[in-house]
Amino acid sequence: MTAHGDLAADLASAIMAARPRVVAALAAQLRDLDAAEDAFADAAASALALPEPPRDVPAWLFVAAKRCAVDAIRKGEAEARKVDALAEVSEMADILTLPEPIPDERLRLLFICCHPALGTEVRAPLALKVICGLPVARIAQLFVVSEPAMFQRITRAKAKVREAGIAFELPPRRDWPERLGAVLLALELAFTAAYADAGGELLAALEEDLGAEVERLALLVAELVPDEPEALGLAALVLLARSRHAARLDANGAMVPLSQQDAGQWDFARIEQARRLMDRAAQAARSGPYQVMAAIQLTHARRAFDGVTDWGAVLRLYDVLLALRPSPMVALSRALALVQVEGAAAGLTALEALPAERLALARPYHAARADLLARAGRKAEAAAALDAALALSPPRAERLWLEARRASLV
Amino acid sequence: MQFMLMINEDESAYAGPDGAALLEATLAGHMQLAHDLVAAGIPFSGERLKPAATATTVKFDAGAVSLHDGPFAETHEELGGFYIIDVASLDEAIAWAKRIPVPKGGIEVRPIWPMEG
Repeated sequence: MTAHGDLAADLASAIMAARPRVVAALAAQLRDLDAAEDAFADAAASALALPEPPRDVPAWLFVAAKRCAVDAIRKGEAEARKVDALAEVSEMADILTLPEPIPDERLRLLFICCHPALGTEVRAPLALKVICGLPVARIAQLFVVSEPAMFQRITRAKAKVREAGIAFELPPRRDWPERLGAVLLALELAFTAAYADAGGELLAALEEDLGAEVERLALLVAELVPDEPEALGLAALVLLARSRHAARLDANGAMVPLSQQDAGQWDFARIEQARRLMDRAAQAARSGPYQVMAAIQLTHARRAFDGVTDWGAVLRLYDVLLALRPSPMVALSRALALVQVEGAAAGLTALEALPAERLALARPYHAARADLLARAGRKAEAAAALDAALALSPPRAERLWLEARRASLV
Repeated sequence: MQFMLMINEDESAYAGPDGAALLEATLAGHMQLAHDLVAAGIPFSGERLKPAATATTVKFDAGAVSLHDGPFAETHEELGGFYIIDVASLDEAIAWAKRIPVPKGGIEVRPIWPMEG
């Protein structure tokens, strides 16, 4: 790649990283999600066309986007009045990076995107689109709907925000608990998106940005509602997952499962930060699924200090999680903990008792079955299970891992 | 901005032996709400409608006009009345809608198309 290409790539990722803060500030001022997104897109295009990249990318984008928005409003007004549309378009190259502070409106935007007047099925997609700038195609993939259907869903939600008079103010404190559940769910889903494809080639950079953004947002929410233990639990969960970033892939880019990761590569600062958040959450004495999920991940993280994993504790925590938030995937994780506590035979029995038809599209289900079948000496069935997982188009890192296990069976 | 709060309620709740007392309590709730709206300085209006059995619907179909004895939509809950309030946002409108006394039913909150110019 040429030096110029590197610069352009740097600028593109700086623009992506600046997006949530800039779009949120624009939306708060313009009180219109589409106008904010359009203005940001115009400003980003102008930035990429500059002979030299701006020194302070977020500040430049904020100023440029505000100009674009003003131009767009003037143009719209001129057209509406059927006046000869001579609205002048501002020159972008002359924007000085004045030290204009960008107000942090990300939480406000999150509350708008997760407004209870919007359908539950659209809140997280809207947040991912507007705040994180995730492409609609990717969001559709994540929520397993067609791209046109997701596009329509998001477009309708934006129209409702605009036309129905949804408040652009932060809701009063007393309404926060009601609003928080929807926000935490949106963050959880965005986080899942960031980590679904850890070794993917094309989206790796975007997803690393997304993971970082979700972490920032989760920490921000935890900071703003320190009395809400579930917000702290989710932030801890995100930190613990991100603490394993460096250990997730081997030298060939294949996924390394948690139990085989080199604990020495984990990020101890993040683990410690998560532990402190969970201590604070525990003081509220109100448990919830995010706190339990974080506790499970913290139990795994203790391997870095104790050298072993307390699988009995993991199993008990999965029992609690299963009661709080029953799902086939949680039951699957519980069965895998059971393998460690009671052995492969007990694990296989538990696994075979799960609703296979509801887990047919879950790659971890097939991978776990393959493992247990192989241990029981049923190699042909194990190979078939791995083939089933490979047929579900895993991301590259997971595919490499599955293929290596498939090869080791013969 | 203006919002219409449409009260769709199950009229049968007011029938039966306890119906009269329930109606009285509901009406008292509306009086209290009107009082609170005045106290909060919120411009509003509102009306109570006679029962759905008194409704006549004028139907249009490709130029043909006909009359129908009954409300437009035959449902368990009927439009029983409405408020129009002028507040800053949907959030405020919803907060007021939650205070309308409704024994059984729901309230549809709709922004009113603003008159331009």
